[in-house]
Amino acid sequence: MKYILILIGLLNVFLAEAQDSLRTSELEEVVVSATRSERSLSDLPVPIMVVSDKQIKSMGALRLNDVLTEQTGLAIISDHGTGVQIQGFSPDYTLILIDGEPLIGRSAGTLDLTRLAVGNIRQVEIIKGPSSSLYGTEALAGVVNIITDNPDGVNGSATLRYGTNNTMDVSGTVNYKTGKLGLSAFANRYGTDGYDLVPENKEKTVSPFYNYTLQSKITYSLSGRTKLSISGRYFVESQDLYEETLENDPLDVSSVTSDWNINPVLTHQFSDKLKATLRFYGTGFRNDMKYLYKSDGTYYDSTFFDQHFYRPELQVEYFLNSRNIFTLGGGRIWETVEATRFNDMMKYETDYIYFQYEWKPVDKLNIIAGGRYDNNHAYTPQFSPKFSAQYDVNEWLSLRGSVGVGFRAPDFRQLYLNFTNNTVGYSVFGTQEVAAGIQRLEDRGEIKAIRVDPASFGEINPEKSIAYNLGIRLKPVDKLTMNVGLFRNDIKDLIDTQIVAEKNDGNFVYSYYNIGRAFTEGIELDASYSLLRDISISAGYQFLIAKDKDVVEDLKAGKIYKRDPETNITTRVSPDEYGGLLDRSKHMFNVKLFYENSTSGWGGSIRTVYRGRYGVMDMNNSGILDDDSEYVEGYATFNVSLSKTFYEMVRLQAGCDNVFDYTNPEYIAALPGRLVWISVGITLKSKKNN
Amino acid sequence: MNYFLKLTYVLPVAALAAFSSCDDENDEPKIVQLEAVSVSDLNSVSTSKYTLFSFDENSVISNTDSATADWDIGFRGTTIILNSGTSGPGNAAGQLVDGIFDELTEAPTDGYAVDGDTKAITGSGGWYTYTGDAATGPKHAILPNAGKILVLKTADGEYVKVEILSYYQGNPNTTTAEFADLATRPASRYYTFRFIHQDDGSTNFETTIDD
Repeated sequence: MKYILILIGLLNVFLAEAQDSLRTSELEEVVVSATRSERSLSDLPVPIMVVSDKQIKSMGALRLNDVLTEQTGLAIISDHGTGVQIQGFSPDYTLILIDGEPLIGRSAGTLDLTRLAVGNIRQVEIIKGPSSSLYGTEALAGVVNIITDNPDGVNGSATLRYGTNNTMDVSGTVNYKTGKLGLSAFANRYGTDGYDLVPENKEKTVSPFYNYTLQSKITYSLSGRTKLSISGRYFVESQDLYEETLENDPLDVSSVTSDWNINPVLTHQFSDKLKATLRFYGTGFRNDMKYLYKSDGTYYDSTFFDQHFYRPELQVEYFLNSRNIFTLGGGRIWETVEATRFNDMMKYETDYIYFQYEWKPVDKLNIIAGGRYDNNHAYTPQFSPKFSAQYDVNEWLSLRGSVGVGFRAPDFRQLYLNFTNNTVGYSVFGTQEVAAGIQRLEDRGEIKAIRVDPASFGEINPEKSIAYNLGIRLKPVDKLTMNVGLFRNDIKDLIDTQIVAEKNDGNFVYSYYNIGRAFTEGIELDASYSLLRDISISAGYQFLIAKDKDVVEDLKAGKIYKRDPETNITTRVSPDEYGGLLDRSKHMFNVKLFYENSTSGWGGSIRTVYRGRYGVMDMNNSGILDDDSEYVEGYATFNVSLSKTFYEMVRLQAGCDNVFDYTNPEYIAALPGRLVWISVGITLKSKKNN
Repeated sequence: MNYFLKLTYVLPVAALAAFSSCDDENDEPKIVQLEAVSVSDLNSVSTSKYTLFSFDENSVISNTDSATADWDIGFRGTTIILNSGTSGPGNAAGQLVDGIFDELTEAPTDGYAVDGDTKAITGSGGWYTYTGDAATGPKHAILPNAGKILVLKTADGEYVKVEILSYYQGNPNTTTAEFADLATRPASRYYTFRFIHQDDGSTNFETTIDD
């Protein structure tokens, strides 16, 4: 019965409770990401973390990366944008959703999390482990789902925050809900002067930029059984950069990035047992870069990237009884990309169906089995099953386990890139372009030799992984919750460039092939404890090993060599010297303390996040991470915040991020020094609220 | 052309113990261990002419002898030629073999190529890597690839193994900040390498018969 109750609106009760306490472990938290419907967190057999709106506010987080950087096992990575590493996977392998709908705009693989303001969200849900069984491509390492506020009551709020680097954030929300109609709107402007960790360089580490986010949601109850919601978002960011050139003639670069989406959702409750959801999702992303010579303003270059995504989807849920729930869904995706390095507009269509069966054979056992079938013309169809189960041994001990398949489709670059570097002379072709590209070069007499079997042109498969997650949830005493998780991901068919031909001038032609194999495995520990009524303490730790399987084999075979930096003489790398994939910390931990007293209005937090040393480069010509000089040292950041609320209406908050001003200009450009900020927020509520 | 050539000649040493007690009149040939010869800062600065080198002589050969079989290998920038095919009148040939210099005790019997449209010894992706505009590490540097041994036949068909150590003057440590900075990086086009030349015609790189 629990599920049905939740569906018909107990959600609001939980949320009302959540407002009053930070002791989330004691609450029946509700998440949607794991099943695409509201489910109680404690029933779900997969590893999920939920970060509540309350916690986000207490941290003083502004953008999604601020939120994720403090969560156990997550590392923030900068690679053509700010992304998140989950279970040792690069940001390309985590799907980012807003209310269950995917964000697009991975022009170079990473979806930039700084695009996402977190001022109007209810919670952030993070699923670790593949979720392709529900979401398809990209959900290989996990899913981050931003759940926005639903219109609730009649209220409005405004927040102004100012801090170091002339960073100003202004937000406003409006909520209106009466009877059948609900409206909410959110607007935000974020602007900063950026910062410069290496003042002697003329290029700033982060150049000044500003952005606007507008978001709104309308809900309407057409009848007791039929509900409509329409949400939309618009984001635009503008940044001016300075760029040196080899010719010592610097450039002014202007970059404009925008995205929009619209998401009407119609739900109809046919009966107590049958519910259908019809969703439409349309979204667009565009980036334009313009390069002008600083000296005389003349044109140097310009690039653009323009992506669109449209998807209708129908999902049907059948509640046979409280122990058996069936979900069936399907849809079609139309995707297009136009970009500077593609021939013309590239189109991509995917048809998919998914199903899920939630079964509770006995009270203590909860099983979810599901799978999704994706059919796309550019690669072989993918079936992604997932099976997970949780067994509650007793009141204080639960065991869970899951096995799932995840995939990541070849991206637009890997399929359609058509690029020749005019200065150096090499060429890179996507798999759908390589045959024609080689032919063109051959016709011009530029090809000396083809290095691969031309029959392999155009052959590409998605990258795939099989993941195993095991977990124990412990509640030894009332106020203490502990989670232990073990994970292993076996990844195959990783896509990388490979030489396909040699040109007469000695340059090479590259294309993309499924050539890599890797694994990641580790342990995750999480504990949270409620001390007194107002204080919650949590700690988290992740141990991670992430390695290239081919490198491991080559090391065993003694086929990997390095050069001694002093003599430059070649020696052999021994297997135990291998440090795994770059950018992965073996050890990461965080400790957080939150205080919130609703009577006095005081609140605060002290948080520390440690990221252990990680590899950044190859220094000794071995091609792998195997020497101490190839690591960036581990570091910790300490963040504090303090707030006071007056008359439940005015909230003053001040904070300091990176208190000890830790920076590493050479290797961690994304880490600014100490940031001090203050904010003032005003909330106005109508008397009849709630 | 003022060649800046500094040669270190390591003399073949120590006959095997088993033979050391034998007196000199003994007709049995002496088996001696082959030792690597180091060549430092071989200048390949010219952009027009190759610096020609003879393993047998362990010295640079004048460009006036380029049409003879007196030289085995030539260097011009990153390009390496062998005295064969399109590069010269000799019978030199070569290949890149993966492994450790000291562990390569025997030259392969086949797999040798002569210079043609393609050089027998591949440059980029062969003996060296050009770091280009690398995100990390030294930019625009030529770094010899670890574990690549040049196994060559000389112009006379004798076997040589060569390990290229550096492309920069003074065989510098390439992991330092001084090397990373283009302003302080030592001059390029100066080869440092070591080689073992087997002059008895066999493929053995460990010992030779001293007669």
